[in-house]
Amino acid sequence: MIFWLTLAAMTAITLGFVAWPFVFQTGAARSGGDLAIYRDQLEEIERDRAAGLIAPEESEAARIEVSRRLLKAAGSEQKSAVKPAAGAESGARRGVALGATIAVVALLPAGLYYTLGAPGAMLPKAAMAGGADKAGGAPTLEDMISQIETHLRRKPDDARSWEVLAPVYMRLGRYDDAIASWRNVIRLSGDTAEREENLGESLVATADGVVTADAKAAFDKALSLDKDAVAARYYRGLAAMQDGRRDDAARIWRDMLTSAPPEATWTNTVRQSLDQLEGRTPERPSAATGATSQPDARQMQDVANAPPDQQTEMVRGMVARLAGKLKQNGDDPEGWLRLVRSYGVLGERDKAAAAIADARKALVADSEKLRRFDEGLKTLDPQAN
Amino acid sequence: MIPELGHYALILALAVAIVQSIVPLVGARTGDAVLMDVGTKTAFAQFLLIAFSFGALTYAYANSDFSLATVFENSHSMMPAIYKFTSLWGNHEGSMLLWVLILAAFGALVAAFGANVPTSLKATVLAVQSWIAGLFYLFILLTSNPFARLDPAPLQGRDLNPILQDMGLAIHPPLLYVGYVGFSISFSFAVAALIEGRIDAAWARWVRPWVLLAWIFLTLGIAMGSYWAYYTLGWGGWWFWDPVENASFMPWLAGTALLHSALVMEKREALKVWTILLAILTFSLSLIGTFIVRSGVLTSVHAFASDPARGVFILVILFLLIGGALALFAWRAPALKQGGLFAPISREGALVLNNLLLSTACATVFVGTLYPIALEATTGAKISVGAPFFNSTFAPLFVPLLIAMPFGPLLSWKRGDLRAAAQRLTAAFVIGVAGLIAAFAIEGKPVVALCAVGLAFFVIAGSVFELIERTGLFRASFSIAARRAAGLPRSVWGTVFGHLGLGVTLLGIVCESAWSVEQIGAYKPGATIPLAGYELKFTGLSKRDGPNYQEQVATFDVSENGRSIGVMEPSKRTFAARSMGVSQAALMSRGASQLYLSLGDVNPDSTTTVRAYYKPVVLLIWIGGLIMALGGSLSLSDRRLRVGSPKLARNRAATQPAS
Amino acid sequence: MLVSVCAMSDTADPQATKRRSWLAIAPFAAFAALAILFLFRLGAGDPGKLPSALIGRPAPLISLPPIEGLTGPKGAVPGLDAAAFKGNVTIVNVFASWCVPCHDEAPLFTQLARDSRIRVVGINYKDAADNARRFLGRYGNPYSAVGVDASGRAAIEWGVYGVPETFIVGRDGLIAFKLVGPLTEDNIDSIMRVEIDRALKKG
Repeated sequence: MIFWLTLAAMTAITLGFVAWPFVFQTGAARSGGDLAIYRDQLEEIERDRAAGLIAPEESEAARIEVSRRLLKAAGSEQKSAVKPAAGAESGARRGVALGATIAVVALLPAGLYYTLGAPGAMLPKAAMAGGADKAGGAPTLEDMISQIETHLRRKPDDARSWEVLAPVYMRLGRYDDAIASWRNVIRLSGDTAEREENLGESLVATADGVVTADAKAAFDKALSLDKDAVAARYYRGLAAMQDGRRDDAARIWRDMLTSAPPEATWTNTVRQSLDQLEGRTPERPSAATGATSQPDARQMQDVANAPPDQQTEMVRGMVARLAGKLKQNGDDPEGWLRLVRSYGVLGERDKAAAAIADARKALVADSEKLRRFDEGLKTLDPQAN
Repeated sequence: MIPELGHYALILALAVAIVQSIVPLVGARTGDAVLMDVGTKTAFAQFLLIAFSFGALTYAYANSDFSLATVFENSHSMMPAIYKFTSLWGNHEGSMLLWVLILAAFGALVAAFGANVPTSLKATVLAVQSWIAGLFYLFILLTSNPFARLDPAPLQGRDLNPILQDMGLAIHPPLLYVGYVGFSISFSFAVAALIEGRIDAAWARWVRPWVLLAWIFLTLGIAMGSYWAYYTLGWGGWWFWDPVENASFMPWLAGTALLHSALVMEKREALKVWTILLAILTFSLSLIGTFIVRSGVLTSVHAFASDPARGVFILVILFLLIGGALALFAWRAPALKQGGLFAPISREGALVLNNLLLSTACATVFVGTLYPIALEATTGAKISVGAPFFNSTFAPLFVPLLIAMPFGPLLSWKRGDLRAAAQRLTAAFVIGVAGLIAAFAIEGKPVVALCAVGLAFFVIAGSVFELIERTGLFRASFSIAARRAAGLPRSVWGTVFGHLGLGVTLLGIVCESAWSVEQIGAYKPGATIPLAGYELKFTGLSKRDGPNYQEQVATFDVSENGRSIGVMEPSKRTFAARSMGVSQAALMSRGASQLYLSLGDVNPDSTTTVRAYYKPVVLLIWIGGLIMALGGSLSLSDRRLRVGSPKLARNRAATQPAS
Repeated sequence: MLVSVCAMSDTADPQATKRRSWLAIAPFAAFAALAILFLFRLGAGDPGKLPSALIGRPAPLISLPPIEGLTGPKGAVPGLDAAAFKGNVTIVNVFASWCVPCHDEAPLFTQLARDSRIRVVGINYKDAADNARRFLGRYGNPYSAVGVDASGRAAIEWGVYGVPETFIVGRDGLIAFKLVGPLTEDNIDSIMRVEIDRALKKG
């Protein structure tokens, strides 16, 4: 309501400006500026002559020329002297002008804002905040993140907040922010094997699965701090494999398996990677080597249940078709969820994140569908989104 | 809510612009003072509304409101506060809003300070100004809404393009825009004169301050942009003949010509039709320059993402404004009364030569910029016109211009005495030759550069001699000369500094181009790079964290003749949000010369590629620009430009009762 | 109402007035021509169509060193030998591990490399050896030779605007085609394969 009142007030003030001359009959017709200029030119010639800057005969010629201009201007002044605007004709004209002016200033913006404006855009936020209040329930993840971000903006040296935020960024697929956060954590409260591992994983994720030199350095550091760091060892193996040093990779992973404690949940993943390395078509891209997340046992099993080569090819084909379909018609929250999930299964976290963004854009017009999509996202495997 | 209010203010401004486009014009045609005065009030209202709208967007940027699409695309919550503000115009939508803000501000300035202009002319000018403004408001509202919301709002922005995270961006575009948009006033004056069908010497006097104002800012903007490119792009170049640079250079050339032709018109009432045409062309070039890149007709490194709908709209606007003005010109100009004739050897003759050369130079740049497009459209061949073309066509035009420049002010109006002027310039000529010989003694060759140095000294000395001549320094006593200097009109000082600045810039350009020393190599820490008498010792590489980037810094100890004179730290920054790297050059000034270091890549053998330059008197290029702008400002402050303004006349009466 | 003030001219020479009116129309005519040109060019500003001065010219004869430690089934993968362009149709892909679109196009080059009529080679632009090697390990190496361009000099010679970019060099050693930007599912068949076939036919 305040909003609409403000719009009305703005319109009223603007109308005030526009109607001012009509109401107070301001504005005197004025001319003769040119006469003043020519007189000034004459004075200048006189001054220059007195100072000896121009010769007398030159100044005389110039004086005649300017005087001629002066006379002509004075003549046309009289001729075109602004007619005193009075009488019925001008009164009617002013009336029409005022009416048209008011109509344009008052009605046109209203019509234009009706078509172009998006007053609804500021509502969802308010509604969300209101809803949270009413429910008294837990704030959403987004709220929490933005709260911590606001806090960090004021106190950028708060290591604990960075450490809370970093894994959340990773989970949301915001790897660059995750990298910056982990670097801040390490800078502010020292490095541990776990932090270096996390930094390394974020770096691998942002490089779309490639164990870059920076990532490798982070894993090496982690291992120098704790020689049993599991993820760091795993990625060292992956780096060796991507380097084409297959024997090294196999040795690293085999060592991991032999030294694994019996309760370890990660052995499946490592075994899977090892099988793939030693088994069939190793240099083909596959979901397993592409997986940038922590080794995920369930995901690996899915792949294991079918001939891996065919399986990936099949999934990729399906996913590409689905993506194409959604690009043409994005009005399908369930479809988008399926796409996000598929990218997650394929380990393509960047694409999953991009799909989430695209989906939100495509569904933005329909708040009900958008809500369904957001709900669905929460139920997805966190590894997938 | 604030962005929505900003959006609405923009819509209201459009409505007001429509009123202003019509009502004052009706007033001027019918002699109705009330209707004419509507234009004054609406001009203020437009400015306030656009300022409000701009403020709303600024608020959103300052508070990192990522629910706004443009904020999301161009900002980041961790960005330093100053860049949060400047990222507003680092993108298409925001820069358009800045553009119309300046346009509205100029409209309001005309309304406020145009009191010495006849009411009907002023009303017509304001109406024309409003046609321009209205079209651009419509453009923003329909194709480039800066207030578009995203729902749900993203949590973090995408960050500003790292190259733009620099103080240069804070200053350069606003200066340039003030320059471009400032020429809209002379355009409006020209169109108004065509509509009114009346044009005389007084018109030139009224337009001159606006041309000067725009010219000053454009000069500063171009100089600033060139310096920005010089230190951010990392290879020490300061002018690339890029289409966008050409776009700012063309209005400058045309505007400079306009400045001089308006002088002829004011003094002799000649060149009237030509001046009108120049006023139209200058702003047209500004428009083409600003928008052709955005329309997608030309591609450039400066380009914002182009969008076909915008492109069509922009072309329609350009066609309406430029085409409309030129059509009006074609229809009305033949009916305008021509001015008098004059002798070729005279002040006005010199100014005509200036106009001829400047407009040819401008046409050259225009052709060089657009020829590739035309060729591709007709034959399909793709070529790119680069520095060699511009350098080789530009020099033959500028050399005569520069030689003639010191002569101009020494010739008198109507009938000049060339021999007398040449005699008076003997001393300047001697200084030029002395400069040439000095350059030969220091650098030796190439001959072309030596001659150019001589020319630069001739121009500089010639500009100063005009002053000596006018004050009678060395002939009369110093106190008389000082009194005469104080009594000189400011515009004379303006001419002196304007011409002097050009000479200084020329000197910088020539020395930098001919005698820069370049040293590119891969070095390990500990290595020493000898460079033009300096020694740069590479002491090490280190990592540093900035607010939203990480940087790798190389440290160099600089010494001259074994004496340490400071440390230079070029670096490479990596911005996380765009995973994009930017090289930050390190500069050290030695007088007007500079040492310039920029980092290349770290190579596999742990060496770092370093580009080191010694640039002799390179700073003169921009110092010259500043001097030119100073000259413009002095000229602008000349009281004669305000003659007829009632308010100031009263002031003058109070301080100088004798006149 | 504009016409009423039009009769300003007091020079009576109709000949001169006529000449002047033609001159006055000239700027408008020039602008109209320009506007038509702009209209034609609109939308042609697609960065994918940036001109390459090098098309039809010989491929730059620069040999580039191999990626350190990169091996394939047949041992170490060699660097780029400029002499090897003659006699084969060669696809030259400029890539880098840090370039995001390069990740997307990498699997497509594996597809392209299955075509035994052509050679696919890479120029690794401004990249760290470790990253480049593992990038190829991650997606599989489609290139029979990869040259390292650490300084970016070779890219300048090739007239590269940015990574990724892909060139087709004909058997005659001349650059036949250039694709600015990534290879995609959309353009691999509609553009790339068409241009490859054309280069193959050319003999």
